[in-house]
Amino acid sequence: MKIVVLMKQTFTTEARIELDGSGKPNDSKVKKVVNPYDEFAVEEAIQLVERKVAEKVTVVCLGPASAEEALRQCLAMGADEAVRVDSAGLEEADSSVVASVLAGAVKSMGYDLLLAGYVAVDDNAAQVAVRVAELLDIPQINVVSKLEVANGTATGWREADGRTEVLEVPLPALVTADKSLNKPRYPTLPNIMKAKKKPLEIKAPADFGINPPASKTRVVKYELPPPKSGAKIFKGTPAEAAAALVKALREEAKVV
Amino acid sequence: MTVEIRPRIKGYSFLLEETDPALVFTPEDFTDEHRQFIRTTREFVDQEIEPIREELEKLDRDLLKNTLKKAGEAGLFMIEVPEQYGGLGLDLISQMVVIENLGGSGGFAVAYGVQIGIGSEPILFFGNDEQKQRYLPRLASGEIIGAYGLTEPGSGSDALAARTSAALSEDGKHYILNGSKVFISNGGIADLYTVFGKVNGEHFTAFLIERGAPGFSIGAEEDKMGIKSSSTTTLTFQDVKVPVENVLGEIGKGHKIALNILNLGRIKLGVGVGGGIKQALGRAVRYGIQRKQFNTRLVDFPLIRQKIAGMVARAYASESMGYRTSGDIDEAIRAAGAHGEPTLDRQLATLEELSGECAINKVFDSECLDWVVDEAVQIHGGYGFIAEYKVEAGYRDARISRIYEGTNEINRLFISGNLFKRAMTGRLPLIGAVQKIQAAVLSPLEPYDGAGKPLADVAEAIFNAKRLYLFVGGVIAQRFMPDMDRISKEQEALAWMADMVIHIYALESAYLRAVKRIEAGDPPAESHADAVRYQMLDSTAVIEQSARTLLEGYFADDSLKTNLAVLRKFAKWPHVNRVELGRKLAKAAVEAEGYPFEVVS
Amino acid sequence: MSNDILVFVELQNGDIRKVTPQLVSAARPLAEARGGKLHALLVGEGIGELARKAATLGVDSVAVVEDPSLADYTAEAYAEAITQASKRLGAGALLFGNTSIGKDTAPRVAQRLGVGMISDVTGTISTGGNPIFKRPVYAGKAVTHVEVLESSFVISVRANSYPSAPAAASPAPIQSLAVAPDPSKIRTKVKEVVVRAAGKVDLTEADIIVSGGMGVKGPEGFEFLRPLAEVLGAALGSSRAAVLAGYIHPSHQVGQTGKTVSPSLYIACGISGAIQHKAGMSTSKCIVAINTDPEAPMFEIADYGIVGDLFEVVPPLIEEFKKLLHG
Ligand SMILES: Cc1cc2nc3c(=O)[nH]c(=O)nc-3n(C[C@H](O)[C@H](O)[C@H](O)COP(=O)(O)OP(=O)(O)OC[C@H]3O[C@@H](n4cnc5c(N)ncnc54)[C@H](O)[C@@H]3O)c2cc1C
Ligand SMILES: Cc1cc2nc3c(=O)[nH]c(=O)nc-3n(C[C@H](O)[C@H](O)[C@H](O)COP(=O)(O)OP(=O)(O)OC[C@H]3O[C@@H](n4cnc5c(N)ncnc54)[C@H](O)[C@@H]3O)c2cc1C
Repeated sequence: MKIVVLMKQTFTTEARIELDGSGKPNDSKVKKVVNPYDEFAVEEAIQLVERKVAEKVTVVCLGPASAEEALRQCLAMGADEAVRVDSAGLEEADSSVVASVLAGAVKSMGYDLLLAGYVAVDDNAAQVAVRVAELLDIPQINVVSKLEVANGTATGWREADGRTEVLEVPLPALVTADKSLNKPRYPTLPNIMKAKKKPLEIKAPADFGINPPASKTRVVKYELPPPKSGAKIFKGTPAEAAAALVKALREEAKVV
Repeated sequence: MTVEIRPRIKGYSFLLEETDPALVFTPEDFTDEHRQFIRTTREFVDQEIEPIREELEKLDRDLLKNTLKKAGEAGLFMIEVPEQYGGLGLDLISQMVVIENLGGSGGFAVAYGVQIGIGSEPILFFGNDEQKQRYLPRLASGEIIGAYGLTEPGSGSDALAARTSAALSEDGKHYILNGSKVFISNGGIADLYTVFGKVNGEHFTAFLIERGAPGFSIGAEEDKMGIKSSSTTTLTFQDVKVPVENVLGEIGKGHKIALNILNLGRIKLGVGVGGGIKQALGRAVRYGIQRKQFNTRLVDFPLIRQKIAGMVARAYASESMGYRTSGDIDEAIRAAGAHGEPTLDRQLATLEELSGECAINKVFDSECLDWVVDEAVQIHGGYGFIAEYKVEAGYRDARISRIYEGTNEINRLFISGNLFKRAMTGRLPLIGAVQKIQAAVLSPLEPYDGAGKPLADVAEAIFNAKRLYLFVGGVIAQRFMPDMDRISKEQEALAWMADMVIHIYALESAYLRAVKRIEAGDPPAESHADAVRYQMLDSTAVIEQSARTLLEGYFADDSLKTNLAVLRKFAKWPHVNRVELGRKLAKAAVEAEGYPFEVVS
Repeated sequence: MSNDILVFVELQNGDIRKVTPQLVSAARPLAEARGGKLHALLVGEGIGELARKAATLGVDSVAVVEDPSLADYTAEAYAEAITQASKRLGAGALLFGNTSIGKDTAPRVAQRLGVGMISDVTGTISTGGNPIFKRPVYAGKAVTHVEVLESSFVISVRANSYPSAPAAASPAPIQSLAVAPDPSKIRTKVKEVVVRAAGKVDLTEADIIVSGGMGVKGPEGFEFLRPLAEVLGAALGSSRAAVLAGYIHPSHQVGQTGKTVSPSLYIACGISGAIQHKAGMSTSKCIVAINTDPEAPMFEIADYGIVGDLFEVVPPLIEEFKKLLHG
């Protein structure tokens, strides 16, 4: 069985976001890592190989040359091979474009199980993996906290609002990882050395016969949240103050 | 065996010539692989050490052993051991990135350092194939833990005066050991001990002793000031039978092992300590960002900024120096290998060649660390004195580094003593250089030609510092020459000259790195220049003060006056506004919320 | 016709989810700008009653797709039903809640329709021409404005980002659409659905933290706060002083020498706000302080505050949250 994992390199969640002269997030100063949710997917894939359920793990990333560091990390964790699909000209591409390129890549590689993080912590879109599944016409189990693969089927515990759905799909299928799926390993030193000898191929979308379509959405502006300006104090009886507070938390702050 | 060594890699040659920055290894030259090693090491610290730091400090031997096992599983012990013995056989730089990033982990870092250093290197360099096969793979995997017993109650700095005795049994199959060792790191948890004793009370020899050998007992844990999470015990030998196969190296050649292993130990300790410096700096800066007094962040008080600037400059110099020396050692070993495999003998010869530089690193770094942890506590105010804050342990943990791997006094004596020996035997063309300087002082001084060079002011200061050293060293040596014994009794002369050498090397290492950045056109090159200039203020002050004190100590009257006049000729340093520079350098650290030259964030 | 807009009505526990009227209020200006009609779409089986309820949401029409294959939710069946329905209705733009079903289905629908999608929308910047929406990125540390470049598109809307549209005076017409996913194409099997019991929440991972200090007066004080934490699915935090006083286990301590937390909501009850405490929680997205002392430093970094006795404020607060979240 062959597993393909979709991986994106992202900012760390601790990164402080600043805008550069052109109003875009300044990425020269921030640390970049394997998208944490994708890391769960990579870990799961490796564990499936260790449990002898799968034979081979390929990690695919659409990104610039700097993303190779992230791919190397996946190899050092235990993936067998990596493919970077060069993102030149696609820096601003939206999820539909990214999905079309990745679907083409995955299709030409062949796979039985497609894994990915359910969301990337930078753009927070949670679209690409599902769109890829649609393009490949395979079923999906999204946001899983537990996965079992046997006899040509995948069973996933999907974390949905307030409930867990246990879903079974025949392979090939897409499974996306939630954070409770596993605890990703850090690569050991010998595995880092071994990873140097593992194949990391660099491809262009055209190598998969793909001519990326135009984006259907476009980011026109980035904004940073305004700084805090002192507490808003609610007066009145405890009941009145409590009611006003809850309303503000819901409608203004949008945290409940 | 003599080794052909490229000129720049000759020990102490930095005193006599300029170094091409392009040939110096700096942290900015880390490869992807180095970065990955760094990440794994940090992940290990974050996931396996930090969460149990408090428990580790209580020194539960099982917990310490288990945590070391995990380090083994992560491959952290494999760094130096050759591939054929189950390791990775990495070059020194690659080892250093791991060591540095574990360096802030207090007692655990000590336990780790012993395992990869004195706990396994004696076998690695001096063991026979059978001994290597038997122990190295298990040391590399962490299956067994190593320790090294040299120090005795009666012999510390004077290690070769050990009293532990070894006598061959009548059947010739064993050596019978009697005696005791003190302060043995990993003593309480190790499986394998490299122990030094004297065969027939005379021939200094190393033995491999396994835990559990009849008559071999391990004492209680010492109650230490710091590095509390490491195990430190006595070892006692009562008629311990050590099989003759467990003699390490040759009978009577134990000192070769003890001394050679020290060179690596010192540079590795230095780089590990550098990790501690950066960690304390980061903690102090982050604390100072959130703590407010008088409605102002601590980091916005100029006096606090100057402290931070001092920390940054020291961290920068120490780091630049550690990677420079390590890179030079790698380079020399590789160059030796160009004419065949770099054998262990050649590696040892290289390390001996650069033994002065290794000692310089150890002294400079351990003293910087003490200064930095002290100021880190100060920035924390009363909170720094409270054990809940990590700087408190950092302060205590730092202190040992000036004591072991040769006390800093012993290392200073070594730095100068070794240098003089090489000068006297012609191994280092020092005398010619001294003569040139002495001739030059009679006429107006040849100005330094720094035209077109980046940081020309710093380059000139370094040039002058070297001339000053050669001058002072020359006149003092001449007072005692050719009687080497006499000068070796003049400990002040040796130690204070060592201070000059240490600061020349530190400042030059920082300078070379900054020039490399400037030539590469990196955007933060300006901060690099700031760090070097700040270090220059401190280093030139030490250099000048040491020179003056030496002249005042060894000359009087007219000769003193003449010599001081020469000193004034050389001791020309550029004017730097410490007020502005310090504030600016600190600002970079505040913005970075820690060490501003971190290459792997 | 493709000027029409379709709002997907998500059903849960036999009711319409709360995000739905919010979708209606997000959709209405879009429909007006395009001169199109606003449809609500319900998908499932045996949902006639809910369709009648949906008719009062303030939409122009309600469409219902009922089929046995839609009895249990699966992305495959829903995506197919929604895609077909939207084609049938000629809707050009589709709105989903950014709920777990929305996240699962909407991208599939968008891909099936070959249109762009903007997920997790929190506001509308403009409706004329190419609409522009607001959405958070980088874990809320920045907001982007995203423009749709084609007239057909999908958006998923974060809950509570738009006000709920008022109920309509007269119900909208309901039509049943004869749309059925081909069962042979539904490969997903629902084996089990487990409704999760609220478990203990880990402090550092908690999305909401209710934290108590010396102001809670004793171990009983934390028991008094616990129902507030429970109703919010929050973890309990504390100041060091409360830990030292033995009110609560040290594992709850937040601060410089305790845990560093960054939840989206931190409710500090009877905590003065010493710098050592703030160091562990000041990056929380929204901070609420409840304290009798108006000068307590916690108010300096709080977003909202109530000056008052926590023993008086917390009970009505629990009631309000209950109403909001479970009412
Ligand atoms: C925590 C800890 C861990 C250790 N781990 C190990 C280990 O694993 N293995 C091991 O073998 N040893 C170990 N040691 C021992 C350590 O190497 C010695 O403590 C050190 O070499 C100094 O020896 P000493 O303590 O006997 O001090 P001494 O040699 O008595 O020195 C006392 C002072 O006199 C000075 N002094 C000594 N000789 C001279 C001189 N010629 N000229 C001028 N000044 C001089 C010293 O610099 C020092 O300031 C450890 C020590 C400690 C505290
Ligand atoms: C070395 C060291 C480390 C420290 N580390 C930490 C740390 O990690 N975390 C930490 O939290 N602290 C830490 N502190 C302690 C810190 O300095 C404060 O002492 C502590 O945070 C105060 O806790 P408190 O706010 O609960 O108590 P107090 O400061 O006593 O505040 C109690 C508050 O409750 C209010 N109050 C009283 N009754 C009521 C009521 N009925 N209703 C509403 N409000 C009421 C009062 O107005 C007051 O503001 C540390 C201190 C030291 C010395």
